[in-house]
Amino acid sequence: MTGEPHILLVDDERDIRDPLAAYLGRNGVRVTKAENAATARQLLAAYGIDLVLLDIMMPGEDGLSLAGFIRATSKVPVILLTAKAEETDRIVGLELGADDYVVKPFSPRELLARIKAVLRRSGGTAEVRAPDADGYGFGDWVLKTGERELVGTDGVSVPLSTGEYNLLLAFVTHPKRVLTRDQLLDLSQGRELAAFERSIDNHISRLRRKIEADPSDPKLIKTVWGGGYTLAAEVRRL
Amino acid sequence: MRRFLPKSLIAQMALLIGLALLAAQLVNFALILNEREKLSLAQNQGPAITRFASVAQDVSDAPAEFKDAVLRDSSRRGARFAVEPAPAVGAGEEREPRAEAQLTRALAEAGVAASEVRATFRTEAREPRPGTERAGRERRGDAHMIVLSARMGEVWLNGRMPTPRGDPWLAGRLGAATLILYVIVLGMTLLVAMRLARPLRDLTRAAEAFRGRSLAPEVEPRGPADLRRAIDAFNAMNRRVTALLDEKDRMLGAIGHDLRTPLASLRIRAENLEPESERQRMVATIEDMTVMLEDILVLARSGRAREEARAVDLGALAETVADEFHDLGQDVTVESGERVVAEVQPVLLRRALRNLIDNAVKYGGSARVRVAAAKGQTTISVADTGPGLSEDELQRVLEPFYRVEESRNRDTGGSGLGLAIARAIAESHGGSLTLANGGPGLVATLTLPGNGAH
Repeated sequence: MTGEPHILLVDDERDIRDPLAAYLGRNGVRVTKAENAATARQLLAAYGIDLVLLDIMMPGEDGLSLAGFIRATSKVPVILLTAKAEETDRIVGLELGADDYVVKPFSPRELLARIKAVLRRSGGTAEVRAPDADGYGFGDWVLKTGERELVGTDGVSVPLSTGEYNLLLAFVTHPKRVLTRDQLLDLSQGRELAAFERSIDNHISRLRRKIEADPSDPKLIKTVWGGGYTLAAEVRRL
Repeated sequence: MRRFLPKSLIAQMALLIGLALLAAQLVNFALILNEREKLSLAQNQGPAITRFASVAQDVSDAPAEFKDAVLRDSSRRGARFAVEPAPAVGAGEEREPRAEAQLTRALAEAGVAASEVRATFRTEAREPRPGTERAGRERRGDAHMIVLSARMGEVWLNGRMPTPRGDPWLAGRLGAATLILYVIVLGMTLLVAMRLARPLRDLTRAAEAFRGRSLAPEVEPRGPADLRRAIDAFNAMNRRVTALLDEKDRMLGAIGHDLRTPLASLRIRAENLEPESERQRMVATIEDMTVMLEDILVLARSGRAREEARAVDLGALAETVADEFHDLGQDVTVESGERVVAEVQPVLLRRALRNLIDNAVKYGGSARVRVAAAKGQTTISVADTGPGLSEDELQRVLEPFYRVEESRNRDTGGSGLGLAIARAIAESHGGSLTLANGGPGLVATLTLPGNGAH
């Protein structure tokens, strides 16, 4: 990545496309606009695009389908712009390999921050793994990636915040490895801006309250002196 | 009284048919018993009475010196006849009017004048019959005798004759027949009632389970034809309602999309607005509109849950929502006792709880969340330490778009839909939302049916 990152903005609404492109342009991002999926495919092939901003609801081929195509053919990160705040759409979008999403109407500043976070991750060292299994079993728990929920062996679902889910996903995809606070931040942030604002330690203690039999004597997520945290349990991919 | 009557179709039918059968059988029983007794009299006592009448005729026709011989001669086969000054049937004995009537008729036919007749049954110790004694073969038991007396002038002709017992099992046999009839008819009735009740129960269950989702299960049409038609009509209505609701959802989705796009456009453009104070106010307005739009869409869609219900740890759910408020620096605590698990739609329930805590924090300054299970119910209560509400307001705050008067200004924000949404979500779970003044502040309680502590 040299100089300005090059972003492809795909949205059928001119009222969004033009002001958003102008805003991003003023903030050090080179923006190419596309009004539908077909144009976007051509532009993707023609330019070295660093990131795609993609509206989900478009006439013709929709954003989710294009996101699937991009993920299947390249490593270009995708941020979804969605007008639906419904949980199911978020999950489907992330399952298709989108790196993040924002719900309309969004704050342009927040979007810019996320764009930078995603670019930093994709160009940087932290290795983000999309979930490569339907679920991960550890201890008495199963973390289901489809439903994004944690279920006990007794079948009872334990609600997690998005931050807690992302943190746990980072642990189960890197089992038995010591993860520093910075690595955990990199691995779990991005998808939810709030994660920036909370400390990792805080999240860990909340997670322990939910999954450890005795939160004061954790057996699953262990603290490593001076290093960070590690998931001590054996992880089974399901 | 009314509450002791059975309510279900099957029980009512069984009770009614049972009562009708009982009445019919009692009448039938009485008639048959009467008829059988007459028949029994004719068959069993008829010969004895005729014999008595012919003996009476012989005795009255015979010359005085032969009367004793006639009587002796007649006293055969266990029968004994005698002319005595007093009747053999005492005044205190239970008499048989029917036998007496028949005897009077028989005597009249034989041309014997008897001014009074008496008849009774008596059980006497059996005597060896004269002339038919068989050594060592004493018959055991008692003999059933008919005792007849007829007044002939100054004396009584008394006769004692063995007679077959009336059928002692008659009542039992009739009772058994009645019982068998009862069982058969009642069994058939129950079978028919069950054939009716099962499809009706299916129909009730389907109506109760109806959530307006496209996957509304069809009720299998069975039972009698008119019931099948009702079930078919119910299924068709189900499909129409579901189609209408689907159409409503599509429309709401389109409205939501069409309103969000200009809002999003405004939100982006607002970023360039100067001065800063004006920009912030505009952003706040756009965000309010967004929240309101979102709330209206949620309320309009409530009861049309797409989310599957599953067993959820409600304590952890409450903690997760409370943590969102902690992160904003709000005073929200969760009292968790033992683990409470219930079948819920976690995303919806989180929204309901979030709305309640949001209200408590806004109007009461803080929120105490309690999750408890008792008597097959699960409750999540949110208490604040604010001023509470007047009785009048307690009712009205649950109405959509109602806001407590002093909060009409936009400072406290909100669409006025928070509690209405929480209530709709509670109701879509088959539960309820209640508000009450408790101690100092307001207590909002979500009650969910079923389940309990694990």
